[in-house]
Amino acid sequence: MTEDTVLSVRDLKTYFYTRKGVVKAVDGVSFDLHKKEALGIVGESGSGKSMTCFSIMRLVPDPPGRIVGGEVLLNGQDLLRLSSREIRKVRGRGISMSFQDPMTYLNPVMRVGDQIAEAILLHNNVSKARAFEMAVEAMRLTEINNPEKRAHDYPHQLSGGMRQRILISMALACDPDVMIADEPTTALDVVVQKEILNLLRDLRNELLTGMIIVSHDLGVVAEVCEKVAVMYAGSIVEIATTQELFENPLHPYTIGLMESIPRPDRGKQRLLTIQGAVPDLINPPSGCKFHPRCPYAVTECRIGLPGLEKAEGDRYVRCIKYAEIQKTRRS
Amino acid sequence: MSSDNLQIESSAQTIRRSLKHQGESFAEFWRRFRKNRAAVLGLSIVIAFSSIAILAPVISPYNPFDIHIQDFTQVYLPPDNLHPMGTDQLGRDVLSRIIWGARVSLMVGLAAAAISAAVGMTLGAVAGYYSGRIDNAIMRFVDMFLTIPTFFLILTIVAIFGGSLRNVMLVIGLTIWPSTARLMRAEFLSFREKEFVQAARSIGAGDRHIMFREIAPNAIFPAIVNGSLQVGSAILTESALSFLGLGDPNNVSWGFMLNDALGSFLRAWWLSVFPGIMITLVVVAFNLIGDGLNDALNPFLKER
Repeated sequence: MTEDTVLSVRDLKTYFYTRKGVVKAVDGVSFDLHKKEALGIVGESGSGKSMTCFSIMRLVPDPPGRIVGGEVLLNGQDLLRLSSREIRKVRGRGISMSFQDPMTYLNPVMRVGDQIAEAILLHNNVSKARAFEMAVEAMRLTEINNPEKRAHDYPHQLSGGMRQRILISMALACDPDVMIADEPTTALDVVVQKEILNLLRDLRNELLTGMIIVSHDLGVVAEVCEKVAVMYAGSIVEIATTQELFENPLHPYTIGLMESIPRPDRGKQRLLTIQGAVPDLINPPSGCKFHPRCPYAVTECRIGLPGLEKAEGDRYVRCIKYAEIQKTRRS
Repeated sequence: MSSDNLQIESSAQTIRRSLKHQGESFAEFWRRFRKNRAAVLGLSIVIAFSSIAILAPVISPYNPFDIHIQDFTQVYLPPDNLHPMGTDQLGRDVLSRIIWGARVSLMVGLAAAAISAAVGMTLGAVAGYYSGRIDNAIMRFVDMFLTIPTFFLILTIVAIFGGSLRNVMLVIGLTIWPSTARLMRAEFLSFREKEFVQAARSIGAGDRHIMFREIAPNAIFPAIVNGSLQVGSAILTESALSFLGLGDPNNVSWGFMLNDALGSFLRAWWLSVFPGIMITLVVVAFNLIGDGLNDALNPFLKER
């Protein structure tokens, strides 16, 4: 952790206590987010990427979930140690979040301008009228046409892309240090996806200190983020800059992901897939959680969970054999 | 009482807000409500009775308490031009008593429903929102209330503390809230899991904010419908109490008039028929309104 680290997550663990057993949804996640940096978190459904964000925000539904360990340092302050009153002050202002499905995350019976104004009123001592004006300004930031008029609309009167912009306005309304965008484009069609991504990139350059984008779509993350963390079964398996990750993935899981992206330039060939399915998180495989699906797995992989090792440059990888794999792939 | 007033006021605000925020204007709500002819009829009846109640001192032809007991020519007069609904055994004008009685009936009905709404909504909201142990405690309390035969409880309390108008309102209001509480609890239980609640939390909203600003405007509709039905049932209960002689003796009430008419049904039918019609009309009217509100507010019935 250095001077310009805004958010530092250390060994975060969030478990769900279900009737069938303990689900280790987030199992020892660590990463740093530096000033003016956008970090992408990718992984398939159930890999724990959204739960990592909910844990950072302390929004894990308890019960059945509980954050059992780790630290979340925002500007040096451990969010996990704050009282519920103190964390409320941080949410929205220090760190905020926009969500996947813009319809269900907006209150159906409130005008969208009022909803954004609520966020402002919670953190600023201003009049209702002023808060509404500020809400309109926040809507203007997210490039909503005619925000004065749209602010009086109800969620169901707006399109999906517009609703996503409203959610982002809400997250930005109190000028947070870090904004987490959870699957910002999942519910949208491609044209609108592109618009939202451009918007996020502009926002990240102009406004925010730090941004985290969670997606199952590597392409989305590549558009906006310079650094990517790949999650698998509750842990980060690789962190690298976007370029390095695409050019030279180190972890077998990331390699598999890259090979399963359809590439028109490679001509006609069968698309590769990763064999098997995401492991059961109640009884995860011993050792490296990816070993049952890993084409490079050896006996040692079943024994101990490998640590997140520093590889060349500013890269981290959770694999004991990454150097060898790289050698065989190069040759 | 003052805290009750506050709560009534705050729930009134929430209702207004929810109507305003329902996603369309009041005009839209009115358009849907109007489709239900019976509900419009009910509303007209209630408006008519409310006007009568408010204007009672102006429109009532006689003083409802004027007794002409010495003058035998004035008692048990059948309906005629001077006394459109006749006079009773003490020579009092029945029409005037009906007009003044509207005040008591409507006041008791509305106040009791408001008290029930304030108590029931608050407790139901708290139970549903917090769930767990708080929910358990509140709901067992509600269950306890539901096992008691309400009318006998009201009878007992009124018999002990006296049947002043205020007591009657309070007692009715404080015994009919459990159904409202259960309704609100069910709504809060489902709405607290909604994603927009999570979103509100993510911008730093606390429990109170989420309960009253986020969930209440969504959850209040069944309670509104229930409230209008409760007005009707409270009026009936008041009439029944007065009929049994436990009402406020210093006020004119339709139930009280029925009690008076008990001995002379065959001799003077007008003494029992007119108050009876009034009670029926008002209760039916509030039930019709409840139905209409349900149609207009229930999102599942919308736009069929």
